[in-house]
Amino acid sequence: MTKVREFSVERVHLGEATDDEVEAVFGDPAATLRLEEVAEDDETFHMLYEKDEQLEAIARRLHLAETRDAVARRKRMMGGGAALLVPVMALVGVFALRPEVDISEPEPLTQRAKGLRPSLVVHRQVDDGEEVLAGHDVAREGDVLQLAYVAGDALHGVVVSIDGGGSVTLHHPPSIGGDTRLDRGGEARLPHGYQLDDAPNFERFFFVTDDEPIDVEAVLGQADVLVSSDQGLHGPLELEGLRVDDFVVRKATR
Amino acid sequence: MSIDIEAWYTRYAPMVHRRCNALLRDEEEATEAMQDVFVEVLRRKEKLEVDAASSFLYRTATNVSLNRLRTKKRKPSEANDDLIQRIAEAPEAEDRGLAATLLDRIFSREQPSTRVMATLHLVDGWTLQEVADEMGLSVSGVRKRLRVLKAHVAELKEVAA
Repeated sequence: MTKVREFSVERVHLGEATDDEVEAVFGDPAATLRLEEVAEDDETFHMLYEKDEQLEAIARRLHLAETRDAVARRKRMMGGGAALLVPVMALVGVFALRPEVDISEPEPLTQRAKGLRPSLVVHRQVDDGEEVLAGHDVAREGDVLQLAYVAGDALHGVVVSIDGGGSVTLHHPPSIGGDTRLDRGGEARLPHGYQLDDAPNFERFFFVTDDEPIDVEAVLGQADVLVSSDQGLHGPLELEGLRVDDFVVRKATR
Repeated sequence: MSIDIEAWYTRYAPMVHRRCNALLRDEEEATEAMQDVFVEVLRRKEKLEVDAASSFLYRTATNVSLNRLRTKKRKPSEANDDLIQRIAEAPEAEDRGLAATLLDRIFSREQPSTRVMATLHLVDGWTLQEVADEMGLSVSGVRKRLRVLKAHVAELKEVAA
């Protein structure tokens, strides 16, 4: 008997199979067993990969891809007739010829109807510039991250991170007594890059926001509680009344 | 085409992830590849005309995974890994004259990927007819393309040996 294709099993599972595929799968004990495994695997997948996190990661990757496309289009446009255009541009101004490049924050896919939400943007320095990380991307010891945020509709915010080594780091404001006000003009970068150390497994950043000034010490205290538990990677940062968004970078060993 | 990405994610992401993981053999890589598959969906949604979403996503997952393997140059750990890696590194034997009009129905800008065809046939064990049906080509068209790719894969093997 010919082995039933894995894809046929998937299609039967999804209810998109042809009659022949259905017959083949249910006529083969191994394929029928595999069908049950696939159904179980679906449940496991949705438990392991939280939908909103994944949709946000997809939104970031989409934003990055579209930005790269726009930059590439711009380069093509500026490159082709550059020699001829230079004198003209000196007269009319370079920017008149520049197509729009959207470098604003990605629109979270899950929040289309809820207005702009506060979010973190994590850039990583690479040889030829920077790349935007998606949630759960893998980074390594020594990587330099540049944190940024989009305030959205929030006025105040605290950016803090915890890592797999049990450390808590405050990124914004620069000190415990600092001003928690946020810049609201699109993506705002923090003043300094952040080099990942040898802490294992993960670096998890939190963006705590509100309309009022935030008690930084309370945020750090809750971060301490979380990182000291065994739920550092997945557990909630319990801060009643405050909005908390997070961004996970997974750590790999060099 | 209007796409409810949340609904697509809920319904198809596990399948896409399984497919990516089967080729990449790395959970984290597979997760990123799965995200890239949905990015492709969103980037092309205006021109996407899909009768069977599972089919389109399975092909896209295969293609995205092969592209990742191409850049990562994974060290094979299983017998099939070596074959998959060699397929991933092979050039596309595109012959636009072979692109069937049926493809327009599936995905207006998509060119049939020889690497995807090779993976379906040589790795997954699909028959030529099944590959042809999936890609919207004739069996002879698939055979012709695979001949070019197989020659390249064999060359790679000789160089590696």
